[in-house]
Amino acid sequence: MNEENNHIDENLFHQWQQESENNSQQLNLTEMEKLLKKASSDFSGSIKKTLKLDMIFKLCLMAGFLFILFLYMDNSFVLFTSTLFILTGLICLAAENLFLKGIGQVQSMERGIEDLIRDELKFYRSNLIRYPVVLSVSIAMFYALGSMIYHAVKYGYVNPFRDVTDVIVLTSLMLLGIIISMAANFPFFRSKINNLESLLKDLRNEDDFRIREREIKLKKQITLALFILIGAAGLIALIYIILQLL
Amino acid sequence: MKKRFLEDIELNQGILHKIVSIYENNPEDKKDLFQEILYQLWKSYPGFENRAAFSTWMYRIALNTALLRQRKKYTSREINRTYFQEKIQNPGVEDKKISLHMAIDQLNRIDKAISLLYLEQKSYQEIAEIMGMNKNNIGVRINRIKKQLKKVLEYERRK
Repeated sequence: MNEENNHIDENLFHQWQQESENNSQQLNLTEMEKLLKKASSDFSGSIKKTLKLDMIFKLCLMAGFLFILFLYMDNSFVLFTSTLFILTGLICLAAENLFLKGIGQVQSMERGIEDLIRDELKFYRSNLIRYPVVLSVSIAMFYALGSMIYHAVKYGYVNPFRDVTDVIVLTSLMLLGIIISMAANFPFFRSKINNLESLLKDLRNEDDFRIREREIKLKKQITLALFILIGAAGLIALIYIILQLL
Repeated sequence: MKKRFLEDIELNQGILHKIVSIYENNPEDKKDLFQEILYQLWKSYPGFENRAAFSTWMYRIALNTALLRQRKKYTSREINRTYFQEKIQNPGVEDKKISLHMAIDQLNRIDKAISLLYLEQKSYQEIAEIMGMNKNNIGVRINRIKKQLKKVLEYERRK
């Protein structure tokens, strides 16, 4: 058996060496330096880029709100809306900053694969809702600021929107924008979590058989217990009915 | 530091090409993965400090990068598995030489990494160190991987 194993090993090593030689390619220093200049193209690289752009966008929107607040400070609607969105913007910026730091920490590739997967899963799961919400707030901010600026430019003033219907309609439209934006961002995040969960399953491949065996045994025990309970309940009900009839 | 890094990578780039070839089939995807691995290696290089052999450190980061990369919807594994299923059911299906790379493609992502290290004739201890896994677990997985690869090679020999 050992001889057969050694023979298999030698065959595999030999074939691997041959195939590797056939597929081999070499890059020179210049080519590698060129590749090194490119940014990371992986998932976390894309998220970081999106977050940084969003943070710049939010800062621009907050500057816009400050400007319109300065111009129409006596308008209660402008005062309330601008203050609300500036504060919301600050909270979102803090959350995005924390998120960027978090990505940097979990992505230390020098650790063992199991630790890496667990930490990344924990991080992305805990931010599954937070990340899309924080990004989506920009839509609401843009809509609110855009409406106020349009009104100010077209009519020379910003409508105070004292009517309850106006407030309900405007708020509903903003919420709808947030929900649609969240729905667009959520699958992107979810796909990363699915990928990590699938990788964890690959890693636990060796334990799968034992886990499945335990699950099957437990399922059988639960089924048996339920069967006994239902049987006992049925028997008691039958005895009660018979006694009642007698 | 960059010059030293690139020189070290140039000497050991064979490792990177082998890793890229088992995780991606498409030339564009191979280039993307190679670039991503290079990026991650450069990012981690300041912390290297010669604590381990350069190749060991390189294997770990490169394999982790390849493993954590987002899977595409239709992977070559699905395509090759379909091919193998067709071959078993219809021996008349157009014959392609079944390479070791194709056989390795049938394995899950973790087993691909372990099979690469095994075929590079790393010891169980070295493989366990690179993967950050238990040595016994590595031994059990390698035995299973060898059985799977043997099936494919025997099929090829019988033709």
